[in-house]
Amino acid sequence: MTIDIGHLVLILAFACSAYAIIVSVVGALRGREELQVSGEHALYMVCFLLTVSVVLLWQQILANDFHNEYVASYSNRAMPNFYLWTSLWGGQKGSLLFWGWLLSIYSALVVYLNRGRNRELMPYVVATLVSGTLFFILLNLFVSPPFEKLWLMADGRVITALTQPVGGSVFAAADGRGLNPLLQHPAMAIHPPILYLGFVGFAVPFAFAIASLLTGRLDGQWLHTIRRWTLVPWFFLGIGMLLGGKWAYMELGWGGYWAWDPVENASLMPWLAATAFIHSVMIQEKKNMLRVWNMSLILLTYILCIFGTFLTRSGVISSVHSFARSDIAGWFVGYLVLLIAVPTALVVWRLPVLRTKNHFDSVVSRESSFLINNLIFLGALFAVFWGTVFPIVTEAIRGVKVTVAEPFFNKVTIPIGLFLLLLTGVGPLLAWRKTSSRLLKKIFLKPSLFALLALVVLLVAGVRHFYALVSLTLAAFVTATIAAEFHKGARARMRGNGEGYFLALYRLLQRNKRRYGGYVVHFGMVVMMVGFTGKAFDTEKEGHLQIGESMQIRSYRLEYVDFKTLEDENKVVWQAEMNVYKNGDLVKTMYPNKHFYKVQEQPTTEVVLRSTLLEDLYVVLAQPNEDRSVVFKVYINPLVNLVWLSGLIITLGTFIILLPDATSGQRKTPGATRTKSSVEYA
Amino acid sequence: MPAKKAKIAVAFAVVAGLLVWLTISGFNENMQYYVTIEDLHAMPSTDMSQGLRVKGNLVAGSVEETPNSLEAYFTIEEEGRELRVRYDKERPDTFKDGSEILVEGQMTEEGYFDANFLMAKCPSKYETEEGEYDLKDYDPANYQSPEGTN
Repeated sequence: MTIDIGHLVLILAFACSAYAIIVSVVGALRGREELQVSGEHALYMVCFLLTVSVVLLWQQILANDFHNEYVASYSNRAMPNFYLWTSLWGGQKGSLLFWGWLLSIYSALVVYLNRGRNRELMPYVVATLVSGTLFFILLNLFVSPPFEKLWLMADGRVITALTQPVGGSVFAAADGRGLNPLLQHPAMAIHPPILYLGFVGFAVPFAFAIASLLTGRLDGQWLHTIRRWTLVPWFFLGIGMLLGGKWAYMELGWGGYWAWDPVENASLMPWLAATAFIHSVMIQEKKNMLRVWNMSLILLTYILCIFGTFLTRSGVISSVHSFARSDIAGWFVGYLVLLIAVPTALVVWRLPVLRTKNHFDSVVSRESSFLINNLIFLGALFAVFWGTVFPIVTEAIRGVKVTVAEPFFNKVTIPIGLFLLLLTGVGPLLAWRKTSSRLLKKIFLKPSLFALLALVVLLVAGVRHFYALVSLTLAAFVTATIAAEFHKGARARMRGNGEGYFLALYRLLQRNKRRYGGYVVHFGMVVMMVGFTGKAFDTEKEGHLQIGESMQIRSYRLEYVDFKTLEDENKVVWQAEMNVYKNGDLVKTMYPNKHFYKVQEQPTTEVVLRSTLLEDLYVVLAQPNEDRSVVFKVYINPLVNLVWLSGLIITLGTFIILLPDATSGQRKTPGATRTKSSVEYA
Repeated sequence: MPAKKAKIAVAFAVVAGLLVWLTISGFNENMQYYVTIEDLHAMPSTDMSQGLRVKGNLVAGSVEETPNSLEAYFTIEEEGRELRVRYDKERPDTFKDGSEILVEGQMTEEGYFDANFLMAKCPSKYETEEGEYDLKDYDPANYQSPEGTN
């Protein structure tokens, strides 16, 4: 019963979405307020209905209702309760439902919060948002229904259908197949929802962009409204990628966290576009320039989000993540064509209004540093995009599938990343319009000296890796510029307001959340780059050991002490015991192990770590043998923990920026708290 | 002011040019060709040293592990054609009989494929194709609809 209700609710949601789009557009065209309001109510209703269907699916998963084909495929009785919840997005059908649901929640929130504002834009915002939801509801109704049932036919076949077929009887699997054990990991449990919150969230700025193009209200108002709505999905997308990396690091057992897999690239691409937008939008706020550019960037960001979902869900490019090939590809291509054609036409139509008369004054200015920043971000996006879709393109043109793998991406993105790191230090300190050479010297002399000192220390310490030297030197430089900004701001407040140093720092953050929160995020990026740089110093070693034997890797000696085979109803566990000595001292006893899941007939490697801020000792039980000897794979990954730590710093920084202002609603007069070299953004 | 404008244009052109150069040069050095097992057998020996990507399903029982190391030889199959592969790194958890294997590497003179990268997917177990349901453990009495009506 509840399975049928689930599908029925989706049909109602479909009807409601269609209604919402029509009345909103008609209401806007005819200027009929009651229709517009009705459209908003229909949008709330869509959100409610999708919530009901998600709850129903969760209920069926938790109740082990294996008559439902989706439940039988992605959950089973042995799975811990916590992971049962995650089965909702463990498979394609459920994940598409989840996507639509999240979008409807975002939509309801944005409409509710803007109910008294942006009246002219809102009907079109509603129509655009609901049309996105509608696409996913359509997929859930016609291509990928999460509420299909299993039926046993007379000839013994089991088929999947929405309603009872002729000659079919009710079938329910004795047990489900269960979620892939590789996905049963805490980071993996929250990685998809967080990533989706990012992907889906960009629908909001997209909808506002479309609405402002349609209405011709291209002043700063829509930009002001979407500022936070852009930052939130940007944040989720970034953190989602980090969690995915953490999962790969802990669960896949190859010692790394990023492999330039097409699906990883799929989330990186919109992130790059959004990051470019977050920067260049400041030029528009400040100088009303780059209006076409910003409009295009935010539209592009959402298109890339859908493109990313398409890559993940359609299996057009081989990837570790992709689900089996399915017929949703055609639907996505259609939607993408629409998503590209309509905004492009709108931008071209509004081009005369969008263009601005303002021009750049100098190469050495904040504006041009932002523009170079944008160029670099888009360059990175371009490289990642071509690297990702290259197999499709070559196959279409030349009939041969040609791919570029990890070395390509590393070769291209490392220099780009380093240049961005440099800009992180330089850009925010340049003045608007033009920066004099006297001022340049004043701002950058000390940080440059500090960076030089860092370089000397590194050279003395024996670091010779070129990129690592550049990266760490730049990191020192940027950190110094950020610290100097905080220090300078605090000093200014101490003089002006007679506050103590720490109170001044606190007030500084509080009064200029966007600027100083931004610095915190920048610092997070520096920490992340240092973490990436650790890759330059990693090492790995493989060792075949009998019990009692040891292997040496750098300053660690690993002694293989014992081997155990454990078994429970779910899995078999092979476990080795190892004593780890560092410079001769016993520092840890480790138990690297491998699980073998009986239902799925699949092993999972359980990595063990000895983790310090400076480096991880990463041990994998690669292969247990009959004679209790074991092949171990051991990695030393320097600085990798800084990558995870950077996520926390970026979270903190984003949180500071997003905190509501005490004087909410009122924009501060620019320049009220300006310092000499830079101006607050907010 | 045309001089200023030109300066800015030059600065951007230089950066853009560098990016394009970086991408193109990266491309030329790191291309790998997707080939089928059939292509591979038909290929003249001169082509054999370049980077190749080939996929197939792991033939059941074909894995031959070299004792006391991670090295293994195994056979993958696609449309009736088989290919012997050597791989000496740790195989992923999803590597098992029947799973789809993607390998990167070169053909060797000895006639096996020397892989330096391996990716494995086992879609069949997690994605149900119509009619592929496993009936061996089916007992209709086992199903109790949560609300007792179905």
